[in-house]
Amino acid sequence: MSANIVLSGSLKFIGLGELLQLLGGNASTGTLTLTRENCDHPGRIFIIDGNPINSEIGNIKGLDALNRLFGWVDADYEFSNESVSCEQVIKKSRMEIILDALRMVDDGEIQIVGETPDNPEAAAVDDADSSYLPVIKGPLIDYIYVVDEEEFSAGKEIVYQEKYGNWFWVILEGKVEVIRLLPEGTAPITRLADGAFIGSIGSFMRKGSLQRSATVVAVTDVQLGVMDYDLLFREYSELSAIWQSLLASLDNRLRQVTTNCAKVILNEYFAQPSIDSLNLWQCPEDEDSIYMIKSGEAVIVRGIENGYIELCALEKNDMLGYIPFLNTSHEPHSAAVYVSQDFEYIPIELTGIRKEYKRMSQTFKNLIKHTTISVSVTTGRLFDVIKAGRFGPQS
Amino acid sequence: MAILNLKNNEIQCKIVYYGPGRSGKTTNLEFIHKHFTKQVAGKMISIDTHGDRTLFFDFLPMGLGKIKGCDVKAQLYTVPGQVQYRATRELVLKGVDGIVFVADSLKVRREKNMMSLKDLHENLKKMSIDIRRIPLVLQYNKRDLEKQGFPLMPLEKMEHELNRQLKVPSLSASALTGAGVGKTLSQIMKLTLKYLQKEFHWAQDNSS
Repeated sequence: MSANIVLSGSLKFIGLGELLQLLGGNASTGTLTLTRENCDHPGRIFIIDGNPINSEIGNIKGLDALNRLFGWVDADYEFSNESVSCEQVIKKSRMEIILDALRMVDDGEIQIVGETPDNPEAAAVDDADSSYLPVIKGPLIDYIYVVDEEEFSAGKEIVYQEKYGNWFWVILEGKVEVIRLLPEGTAPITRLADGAFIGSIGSFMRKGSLQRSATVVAVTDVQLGVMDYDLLFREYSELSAIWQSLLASLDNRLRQVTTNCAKVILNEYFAQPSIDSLNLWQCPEDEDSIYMIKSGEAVIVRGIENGYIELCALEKNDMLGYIPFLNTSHEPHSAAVYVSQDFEYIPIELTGIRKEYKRMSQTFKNLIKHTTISVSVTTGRLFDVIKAGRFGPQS
Repeated sequence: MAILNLKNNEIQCKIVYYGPGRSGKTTNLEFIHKHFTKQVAGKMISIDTHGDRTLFFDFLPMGLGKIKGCDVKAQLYTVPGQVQYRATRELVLKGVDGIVFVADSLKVRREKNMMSLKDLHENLKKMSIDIRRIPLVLQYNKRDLEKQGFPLMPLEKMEHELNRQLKVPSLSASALTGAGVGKTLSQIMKLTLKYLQKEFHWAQDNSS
């Protein structure tokens, strides 16, 4: 630890906006370093006389890096009082930086990493459940979308895998467990709690005829709100073809990741994906686009100690890339993409995607976010099982 | 909670203009920034938020005296009314020392005023601030629109609906022309300084 560290703590307690104001009011000079668990690169903000002049996260520099740091809501910080010699690339005033970055957080332009439980409006993942399963919670519920209420006592099945149905529920109170059944056994995947949804956005694509991809069982006594399917379907049908494809692709991703997670849990998945015949694909540098597969296939993999593990395989019309406000914790930062020889893609600008997203109802946004968070959490669970060596069917 | 900056020998306090979207919060601050040039320190920061803007600048209230020998510097803010701007609203309201609630006198905005005041009450409560204790001034804005034939709420009715329980100073204004803008600012500054003087006095009493 540097001897110059004069201030340290957690951004969970004091936000970056307030911290920069504090250092600003004090006309401090030095380096503010932010660190997050499991994050390779710390974030650094270089401050002269209370004003940020430069910032970096790995290769990302300047205002872009500084703005991103406003999404690190659970980071630890240290301020070293020292002379700063780097180049001044940030010219905006302190308050302008803070207010604009927070506006971007509110508009979903800056990705929040590490949601905190005291942020009730955002979906959160609570790892402190008494089981080892991660628990997905959701934001506050808009009761306009709730047409009825249902109660299930602890232990009762709410949804059966393979059965057909398109109902959506939102959990008003209680906890449920999502279980994937494979011929080899039963794999508990995640738990869902207040504000989370039961049901898949895939049901919009095949209205009324979609097989449930998992079984859902009440862990405690639960109270569910039956969602107004017609209202949601109407909103879905008014979406652009791009957004409809994006939702189909997200649903496809979730289904595949869940299956692969279940295989790992049941000790069925050791085989490495055969990527020998595939080429590593680098997302183009242009960060304002995502990519629709025009031909060929793409396999999303993540490295493990002695090889790779496949998260999902995508094909024509599926989407690749990074959407800042809908993070799946896959490519490009946390997973690699391998593509077949005949792989071709069409870039799609994020501006239009974002604009349309902003126009959606909060409930529809919550439903989409629930899907991306489920992808991210299920992927995390898969690697937790690998890391902990917790293989084999659960009793 | 004002910040005492011993380096500069000044007390920094925060005044927030709150109210429903398009009630005239930004017009108030724009007028102050343009016409009170001697007391404005630095440029005005304006952040575009949907249907509203967030403004900020430093203001040096002159002739209102010092607190414990320190100069007083005020930071003036507007806060975006829309629900989605949670992070911005939290930062702006954190440590607020005085609030101007800008109500829209247009009859059609009656409910918006009441919702926004309720919203302010709840947001302050989350920060353990009692709306009945914090320096607060109500401004009934857009009174000039009456001459142009727009149906306005009578002042007595606004007073009854918004200020019956709060019983705080209220003023009518036309931020677009500037009428009442200065008076509102001076009223909230006086209340805030009085409040801070009391707070600092209390702090001194308790530390001795």
